[in-house]
Amino acid sequence: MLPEKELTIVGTSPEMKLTRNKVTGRAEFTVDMRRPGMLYAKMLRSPHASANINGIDYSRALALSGVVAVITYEDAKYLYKPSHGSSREYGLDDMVRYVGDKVAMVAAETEEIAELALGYIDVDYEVLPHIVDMEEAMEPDAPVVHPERQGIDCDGNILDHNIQEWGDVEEGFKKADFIIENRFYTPRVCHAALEPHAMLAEWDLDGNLTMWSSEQTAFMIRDSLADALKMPRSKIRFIVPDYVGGGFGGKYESAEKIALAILARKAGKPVMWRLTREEEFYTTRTRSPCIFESRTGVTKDGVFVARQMRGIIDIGSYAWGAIMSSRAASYMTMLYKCANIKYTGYGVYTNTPPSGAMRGFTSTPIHYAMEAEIDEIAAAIDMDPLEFRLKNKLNVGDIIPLNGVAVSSSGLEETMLKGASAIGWHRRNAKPGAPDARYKRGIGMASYCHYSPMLKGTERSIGNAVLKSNVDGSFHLLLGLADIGQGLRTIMAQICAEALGGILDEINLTLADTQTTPWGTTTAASRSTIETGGAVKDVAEKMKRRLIELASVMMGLHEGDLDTKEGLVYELANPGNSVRFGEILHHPDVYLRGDNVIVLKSTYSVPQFVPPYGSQFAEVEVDTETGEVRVIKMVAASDVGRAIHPKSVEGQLEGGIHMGIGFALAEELKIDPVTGAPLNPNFLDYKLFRAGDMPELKIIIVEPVDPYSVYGVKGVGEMTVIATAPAIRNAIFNATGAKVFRLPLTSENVLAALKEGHV
Amino acid sequence: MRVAVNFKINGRDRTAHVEPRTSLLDVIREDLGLIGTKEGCGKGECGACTVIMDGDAVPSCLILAAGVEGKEIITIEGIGENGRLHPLQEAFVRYHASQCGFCSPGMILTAKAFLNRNPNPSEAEVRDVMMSNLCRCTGYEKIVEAIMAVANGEVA
Repeated sequence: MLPEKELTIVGTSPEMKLTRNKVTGRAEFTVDMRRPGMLYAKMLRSPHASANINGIDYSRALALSGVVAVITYEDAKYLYKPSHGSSREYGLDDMVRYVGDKVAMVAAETEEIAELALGYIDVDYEVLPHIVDMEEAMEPDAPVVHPERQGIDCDGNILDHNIQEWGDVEEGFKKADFIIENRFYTPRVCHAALEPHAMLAEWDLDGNLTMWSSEQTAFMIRDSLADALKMPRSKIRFIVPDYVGGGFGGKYESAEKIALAILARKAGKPVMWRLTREEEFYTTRTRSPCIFESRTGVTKDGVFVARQMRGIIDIGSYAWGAIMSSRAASYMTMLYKCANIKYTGYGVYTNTPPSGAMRGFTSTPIHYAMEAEIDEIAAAIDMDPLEFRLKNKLNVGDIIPLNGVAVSSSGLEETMLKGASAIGWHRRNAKPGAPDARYKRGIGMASYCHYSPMLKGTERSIGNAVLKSNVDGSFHLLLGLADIGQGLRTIMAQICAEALGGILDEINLTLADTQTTPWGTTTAASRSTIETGGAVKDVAEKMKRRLIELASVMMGLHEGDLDTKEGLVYELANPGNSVRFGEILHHPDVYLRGDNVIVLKSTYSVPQFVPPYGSQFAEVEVDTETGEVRVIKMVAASDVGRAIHPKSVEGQLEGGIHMGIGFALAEELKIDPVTGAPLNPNFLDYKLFRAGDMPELKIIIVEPVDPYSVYGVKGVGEMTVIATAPAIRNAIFNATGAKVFRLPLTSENVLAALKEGHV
Repeated sequence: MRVAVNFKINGRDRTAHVEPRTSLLDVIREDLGLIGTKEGCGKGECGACTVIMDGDAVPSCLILAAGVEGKEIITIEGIGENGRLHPLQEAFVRYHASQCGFCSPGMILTAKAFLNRNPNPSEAEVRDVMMSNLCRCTGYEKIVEAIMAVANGEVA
């Protein structure tokens, strides 16, 4: 379904909109905003991993000069039902469930006074036993994180227990020549967006609330606020500013905003709350730590006959939703053919920081297990792991068991072959383990698939767009989604200009403002371009038809004889005969009828499940004396459907590798197993990779334009984070023969694996 | 108790009256309203608050404002002339080196101080000096590419 005429804007890499403001320091992020009379908020946080609060006396704090208001659970205990299913969190509660949990909040004239005031709040804690380890939390006698939810949606600490089966794994195992069993662990890691969370709340005297926040979604948070505050949605205006300093799944939360709104109402003034980096690390959601126990049956020819996985997901102290555990199973069905698949999942509460969505949500942890397992299998049956993947992969036309949808396009094989060629796959050690030497080199790979809207085939996956004409022939596109740095503003403008036959610079956008933009979902899950891009294309095509209709009267020609390009309506048979959009809208007849004010809306429902695929290859060198791993080169071959803005796609893929390498080699938010306190909530002890740490990167974009999605696109925001860690892990296996099952692949873990063969 | 401190910022002489414990970052952002200098951690670990002081790239969050008497400070607002972007800013735009953009001012100033001293660096040297600044979006590829483009005279 290629567009009839050649694309001129989609597929090019113009300058990203608003970037000039970013590089000159003019960009106003939430944290840069100021309102008249604005106060600053600080949160008192729990020193205990579990405790009841029997009372809070804040009279001494309130007596300090400059302190305006304090709130506690008595002001803010609201339970709300978010869209994700089970209850997630309270504004403030009379029970605390992790070290860092919200206790009381102060608004003061300066941040310094607010911070000082926290020390004058007297809290009567009744300390309770707590539980940090997810497996211990599943024991019947474990301390219970949410006693109030028992019999509602919790059984002990188990929020979610799900079993999903396709085929019959027991029958499958009977056909297996080899059965491989492994146990994998993936750690708690942090989004670490460079801009810490910041939010600003302001009430007017008519009872309207306006809130600005560094956020990935406007409407979902607005709805949660309305439910919690028992207010009509129309009285809350939630705005995501034009500049958001990164999200990665971590800026997607209501509880803090509920507390701040209540504080600002009590204070009677606008209140700004910006989190410190330390708070950012241990009080905002993290990636969930996971345990995966796999049992896999293959024939001696290297064909999957049964795949079984038991997944335990540590959801921390407050669940993001039951979806966290069950979704992981999806990926077992989307990449390789296997008639018999079974997943048993548990979402388990612990007294640790809340965990939730993070780039490659559930996909990144389970792919580590699945793709490491393949190299174990390949070694066991003495088969090349690339050949194994090629043999088992799902192809175009194959049915995805998860949702019964046939694969509509796939560049998976191309990513495997092109990636293998780029890394020099033939150079790898034929069998795991390089010849004896201190430094050993190896090459490994991993493939992946990821989310696409309509995962189950039934989920609502809707995009909305409103397009308004301006009298000069420029346009305003209104979308209920946020640009969090990934480039949505430019990409949507490209789609709009392409479909309209317009000029990119003349497409202006207003994003993520619940008062002015149409309802939008969320900038997450690699879905914006597919969902909302579809609506943008449709509304731009409507605008084009409207302009042609008006121009046909002016030009005395049939509509069918006209087309648009570069901001003109022109005669197909005589392209020199044209009229600019601005001339059409300025025409007195058009003006006097009010036809120059064109406001159009489109809604797009995603018609088909379109997952992206990819393969990654790593070359590593392992120091067998220290266990240190150096990644020499990483090749990421990625099936992106079609790159709307190739340079921006590269940026997403490169950034994903950076996050994936951190996940593989260095990053872990450590929690004291005894006290539950975070041990390394700062950039000094929690290591992000820096410029000089990165390996050589090779990005290969594969574009098997999908027949169903708008311009054939797939969602690219999360892709490369997924397969980076297993590719590196498999390269270490190829270099040394050591089997590492636990991330991160620190010197300590690798050295232990070298000594014992596995860790 | 406040102390008066005189310094030059972006070419202009200023006097600020500061508490002895106030950081240079707070004076730049709160007193002077120059929001291009960002706070990413407040502990000198991320580089988002980098400014150039007497020719050196420094984390302004770790510098006490009371100690900048007589110093010459350049923030992101102080580079580029006559409405034109500085070549590093231009290169960051052209090579798509900013995604969210929160780290960009600090990155650009670190690179500027470095290139002033070493106009013809190798890529390895650029990567080495940029270790002081964190980016969570780009994987650094396009940032390094942009800086090298300026060093090689491809963007002027």
